[in-house]
Amino acid sequence: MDAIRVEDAYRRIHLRLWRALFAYGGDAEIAGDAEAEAFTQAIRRGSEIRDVDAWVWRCAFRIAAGLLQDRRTLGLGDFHLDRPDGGVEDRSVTVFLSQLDGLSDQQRAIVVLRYVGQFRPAEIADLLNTSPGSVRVQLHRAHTHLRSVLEESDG
Amino acid sequence: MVDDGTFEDGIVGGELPGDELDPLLEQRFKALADVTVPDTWARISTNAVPRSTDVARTTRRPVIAVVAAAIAMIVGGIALSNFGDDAEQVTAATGTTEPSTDVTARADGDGFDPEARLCSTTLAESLGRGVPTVDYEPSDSPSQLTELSPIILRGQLISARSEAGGTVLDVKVRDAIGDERLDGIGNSVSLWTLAGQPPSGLLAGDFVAFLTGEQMGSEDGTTSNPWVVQIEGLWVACDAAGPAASVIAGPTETGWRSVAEGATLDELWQLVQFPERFISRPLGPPTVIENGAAVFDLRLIDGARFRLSLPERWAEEMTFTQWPAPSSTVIEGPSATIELSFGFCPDPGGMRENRLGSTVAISGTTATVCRPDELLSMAVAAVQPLTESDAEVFDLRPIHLGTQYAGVLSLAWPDLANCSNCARWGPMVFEAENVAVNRTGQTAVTAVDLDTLAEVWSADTGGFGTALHGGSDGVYLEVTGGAFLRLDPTTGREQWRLERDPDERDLGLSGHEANQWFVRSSFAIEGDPRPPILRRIDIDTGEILWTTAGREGTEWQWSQPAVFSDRVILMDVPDGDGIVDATLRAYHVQTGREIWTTDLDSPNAAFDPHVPFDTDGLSVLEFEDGAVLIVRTVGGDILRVDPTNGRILWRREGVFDRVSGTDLAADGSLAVAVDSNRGPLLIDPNTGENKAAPIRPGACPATIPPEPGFEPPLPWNPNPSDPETVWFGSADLWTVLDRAGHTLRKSVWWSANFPGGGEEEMPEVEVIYERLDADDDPVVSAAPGTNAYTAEDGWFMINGIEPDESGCWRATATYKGAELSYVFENR
Repeated sequence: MDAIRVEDAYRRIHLRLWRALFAYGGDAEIAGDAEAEAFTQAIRRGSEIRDVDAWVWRCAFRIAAGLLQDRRTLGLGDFHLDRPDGGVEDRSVTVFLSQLDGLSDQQRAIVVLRYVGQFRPAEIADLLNTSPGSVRVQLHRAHTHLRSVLEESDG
Repeated sequence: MVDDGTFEDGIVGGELPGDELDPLLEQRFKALADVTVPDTWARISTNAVPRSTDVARTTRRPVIAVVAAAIAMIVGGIALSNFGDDAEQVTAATGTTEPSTDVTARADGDGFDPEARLCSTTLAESLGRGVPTVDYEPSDSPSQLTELSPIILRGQLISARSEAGGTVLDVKVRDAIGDERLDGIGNSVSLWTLAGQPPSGLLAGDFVAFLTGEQMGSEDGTTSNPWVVQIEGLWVACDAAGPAASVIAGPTETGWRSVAEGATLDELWQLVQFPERFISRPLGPPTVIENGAAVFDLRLIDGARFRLSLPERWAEEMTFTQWPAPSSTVIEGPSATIELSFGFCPDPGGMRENRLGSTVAISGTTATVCRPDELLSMAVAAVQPLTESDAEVFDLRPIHLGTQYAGVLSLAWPDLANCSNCARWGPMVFEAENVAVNRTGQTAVTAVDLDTLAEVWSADTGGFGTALHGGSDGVYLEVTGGAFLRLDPTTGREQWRLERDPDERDLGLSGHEANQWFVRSSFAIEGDPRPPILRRIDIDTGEILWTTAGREGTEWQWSQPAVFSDRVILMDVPDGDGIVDATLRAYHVQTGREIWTTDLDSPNAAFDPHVPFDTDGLSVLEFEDGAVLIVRTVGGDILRVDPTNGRILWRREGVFDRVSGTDLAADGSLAVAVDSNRGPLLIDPNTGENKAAPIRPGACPATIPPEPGFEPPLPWNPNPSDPETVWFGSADLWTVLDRAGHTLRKSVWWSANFPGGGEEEMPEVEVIYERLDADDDPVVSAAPGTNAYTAEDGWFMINGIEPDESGCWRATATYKGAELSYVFENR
């Protein structure tokens, strides 16, 4: 029963979640691993989880953050969009995602959750265990930075 | 945050102005729709089925590869087998699923488990070898030792160095008694003692020290000269929860032992502050019998005072026993036992409000009594069945907060963000009129006599909500949807009323220096375009001296107006279309004329759950060279603003997400409390830079673990698998350290309280790395971490990897209330 519930959640949020994780980590492997790990844990926890969607989003981003941190520590860098398994053929997407690298990890997570995850600031705050005010501040700063970068690159 | 994954109900704010999506970014992100998304469900469904032999799950592969490589860099002999679900199987196979014995837990019956002393005893013995008992005079009671020692410090030993034939101990002061130069949150002070240097592996130990001495060459506390001290008594412990151990033998053989055998440092400190603690004494007769209730004057040792109301038939001999926090206070008598607690109401269901403002639920011989918004509760167990009329007389009402209750309120403040009515309930004490006023319902306030605690007057404002505002000379009430009133505290008679627009909300009253009173209020109903209002009033008559409007599309932030010389300063926050940023605004106190505005570049929210109930987003702090205005935005920035022109003198962005207050440190620093469990950050008020005491190059007090190392409880092995490392820490939290030198390592932690990855896949272990030789911001590996298991070293937790930047670092991990630090140097 719980597995069915999680599978239902997977069908609902998979596309958004994977794309959000991909935009956050810039790496298809990290996106896939974080998503798979989050859903796997959700199945194990079963009825402990009331809102599977929210739990998986929260858990997947934490896992992705950890994987990114480990990757950096080992000197592997952040973004691997040019890898064969990156899954990105559109060069403009690659360029845009690499522009997100100029944001802090938290700002990038917030922007991605806002635009790809389609969450409101208060929901993002709950996902990232911070305050709605802080999310709005970070979103505001991310907007300012990205607009500047995009306007510059667009000439 | 709830643990079951749901978003909280009533979360602050929905879509607000400024939350709109940026069209350009929206367009760019939409291009992601063209990226091929792999279906991962096959991996998930496969991995979710436990298998007994498979230890190389597809989903784990990258994690294992990364961590295994890191581990290989670090802890040498600790070979990682597995993680999470895989580790679950390994555990089952090796039969180690039984939870470990918590050796630091109190044993039933008398005293403590002897094993619990392991860590403290080791620390005490080692420190005892290094710190001689110079000028020690035996004391046979806590009070005698307290009297003997003009300075009593509680803090943490940070570093030590040899100097001038003795040792300078750098300590971070948590509490101090006896010299105001040492007082203040987060003081770092140096103590010079005629002593040897304690082993560096024992740094970061918590202590309570009884001292005589004085600061060299400084009377005003503005220099960093060390204090020359003699140690009259010294207690140390590995962590606040563990039993303290005395370095100096004398007092433990006499007074202390009989009073506080096995006490923690917290309890010792309470003894120092309140030597009469741990007592049981008669509650005394009721001070008054009224309306079928016996009213008792309950005075706790920390100065807290409550008006306790019980059924009249219990007006008999009762005793109360107060235990150190966090234990409850218990009142016992022939008819009932009552346990008083500070915290959220347990709410068994069926609670209803009585005429005294308490909520009560009765079931047979038991009752639950709460003031939910005041974090007070009573569990009543009576001998005879309780009646509905009993429910009308139960009440516990604060008259004076006391340190413990005030601390509970302060810590819980962020969690009260969704309370039904967040305004203060009191008490408001009017010494001259000899009354204390509390709210006793959503719209009612009641005054009681400070001597007898009998009701003096009660008033009900009607409307649908009434907030109580402070003032030394009147009872000020904001009626939601109605007027702002002042009542005579002696009689409760209305003295004046300031009529307001029915939609005005969130009134704030402030600034009674030089009899300058300001009232702010906002039209905070969503979508109301009217600007917020600031009024100066004559406090004696309620006459409005001037009214000025703030900015359209905003409301006032809930901080009180700050009066600074001839201007009153407020912060506003967006509440309308097209406005993004909060601003700081100054108005002339005589005319209401706007003097300056400053854009704070900070979208904001009016209610800030991160600011405790007794602090504010706007602070006027008196530094030596004059007062300064400190602004804290909800987003976590700290700014110093020039009040004359609104210019931002410096700004620290975003690093203060968990700020809980600001204060002055004795050395003239701005002390920013960033977390209740850690010391504050000291900031130079002139520059905004961190004000740490840099460690000289080459003087990094790197932790060299004592040998033999810490021996963990079963089932862990007495020594780590890598012979070049030793265990370091205590049963609550330990790690491995290299015997000599240091190699960049994964952040790995063990705890007897960690049940293993099967039960706790993502342990709430958090690690903070602080540079000791530079003013860098800390590096935080936030919780949760992950888990791992090896046959030799058992279950352990992982959270990040040590920073690889060269320098002297202190790593501090916290897990389930335990904390462990070590210092290392990257060359």
